[in-house]
Amino acid sequence: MIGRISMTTRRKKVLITGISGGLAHQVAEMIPQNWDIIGVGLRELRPIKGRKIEFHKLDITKNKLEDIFRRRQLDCVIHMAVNDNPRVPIKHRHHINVVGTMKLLEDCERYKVKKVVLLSSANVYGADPNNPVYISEDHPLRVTQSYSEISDKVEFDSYCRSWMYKNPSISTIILRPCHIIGSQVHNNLTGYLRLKYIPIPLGFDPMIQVIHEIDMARAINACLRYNLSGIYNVVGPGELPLTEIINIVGGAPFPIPHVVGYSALRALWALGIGPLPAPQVEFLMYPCIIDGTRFQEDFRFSPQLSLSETLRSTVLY
Amino acid sequence: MSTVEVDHRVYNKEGNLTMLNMALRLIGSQIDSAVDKEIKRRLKRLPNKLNEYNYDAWGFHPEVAQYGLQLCIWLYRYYWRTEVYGIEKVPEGRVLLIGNHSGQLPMDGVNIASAMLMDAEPPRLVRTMIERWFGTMPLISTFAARHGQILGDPKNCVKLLENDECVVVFPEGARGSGKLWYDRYTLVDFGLGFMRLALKTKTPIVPVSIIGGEEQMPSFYDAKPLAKMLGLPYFPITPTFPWLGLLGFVPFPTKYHIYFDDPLYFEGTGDETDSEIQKKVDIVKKKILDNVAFGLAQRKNIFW
Repeated sequence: MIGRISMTTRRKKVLITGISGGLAHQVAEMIPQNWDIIGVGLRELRPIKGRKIEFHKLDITKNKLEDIFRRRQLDCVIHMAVNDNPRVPIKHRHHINVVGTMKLLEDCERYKVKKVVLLSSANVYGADPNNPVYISEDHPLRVTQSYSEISDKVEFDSYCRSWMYKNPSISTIILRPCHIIGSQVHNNLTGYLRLKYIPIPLGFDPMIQVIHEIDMARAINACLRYNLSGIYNVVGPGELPLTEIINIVGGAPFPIPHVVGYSALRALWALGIGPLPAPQVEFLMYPCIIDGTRFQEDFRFSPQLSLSETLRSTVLY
Repeated sequence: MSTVEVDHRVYNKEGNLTMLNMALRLIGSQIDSAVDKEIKRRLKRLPNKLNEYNYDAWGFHPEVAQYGLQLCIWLYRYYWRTEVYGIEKVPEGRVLLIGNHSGQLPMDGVNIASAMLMDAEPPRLVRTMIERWFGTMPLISTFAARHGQILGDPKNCVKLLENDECVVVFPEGARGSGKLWYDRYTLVDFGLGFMRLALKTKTPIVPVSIIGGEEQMPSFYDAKPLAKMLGLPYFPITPTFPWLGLLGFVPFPTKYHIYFDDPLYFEGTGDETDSEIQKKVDIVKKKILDNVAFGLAQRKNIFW
């Protein structure tokens, strides 16, 4: 059922976890003026023009977080304190991404938060040569079949999903966006595209879906407007082959046979100096194209930036 | 104030012309002039929706596909001298072309695709559902994707049909193309999947009969252990293969005849039992076999 949140005299409060991140910062910038923003993050928050934000510098796995729920009657929680850095040991990442989220959701349940927005990723489907084009939300999460290093992301997604079904009265929105790129976000793909010489697997040129950080921030904001529950893929203006993307951002691609690249990456990773775990290469070899029409229809969302605007902003600051 | 248009596709971040891109452009412009104007015109008239860089979600890109299609169409016209009958019967919008598979190499699919592009009005891009292992092969996977060929997954097929595309399916699969000489122009068992998809998406089925494919690479024996070792669906022993090495891959220049039958519209939901679906599949099978028999009777010679 689609219904707009009714306007009340009390100012509504939204908690944004991980607000110091590049994407979360832009989400906060776009939150409508009738909302009060409470931010939680590990790094100092850069000020946002025209907004007063109640900022708490704390770790979401700590008990101090619950005090925010006690003191403030929160209407909405946007959970973006997810650690994607593959160099952080899996034990630590699991603690933040899974245990931290479990505690946060427990608090949401106890203090009767009406809406929770959770940011997962389309990576949980995994890049696989057998992937159909346009993966829908009910597709199996297969990434760990070959890429065990990000098992915490799959567990995060699965836990959020079961929690959503357990709490039908809370509007729970789990977003699985495609690759988010832009000048503010730092993830595996943007880091890769900002290289001067970009290694690509020889003979593979999969289609890759991208969404601009501004469009993604807009998508997250759209979640505030509709009281729905569900898992949603989020896509941007479209998909392009890897080499075309590299041409547009202006890098110089050099092909490496994937067997060589894979082994080298695995050896470097084992030595502790590799940039990424070797199975990440699969995202440059096989497609992982998701179907975002459900989100676009249910939340009346459409990306505003074109493919070329989205891609060029990644490197040209 | 005048602005300088910088082509970001050629210049990298520092504004240097990258060697690779420059070389590709140079080669590209040379090959480009080799492509038939007729093919370019027809590619422009395809009803397929493409994004701002001329790609579709599966990776089809006319600017790359034109080169491969040029070769396919040359073979279609001058090597196999394909005769096409009844192509005007293929309806507009979504359609499933169901054919008999033969000839070790999937030249039947290539010829149907060439016919639909060059001889159908309006031109259509034919999507074939390729074997899964193609997706794991470097170069081949990219090559197939740029030419609009799709991994054989039912979800892909449904999506294509919902987009009103033209999909060719050989329900015999690799068992059909790997047929031995003694079984030529017979049909092995048809899979039922295509009929369920057609019913679910309300797609008309056009039976297509291909004459000439069986003689292009007559196989007398399928060396199964070798095939298994190499990860191939079959390993044919033909008069030329493997005796002549790579040269043995060259099929004989048999003459191709392709018969398109009237579209069949089936009623149903796609959730019927196998035996009910089988009855419908048998109708399609019979049409194909009838046309094969007709085509063989009409044919005077294998080569002309």
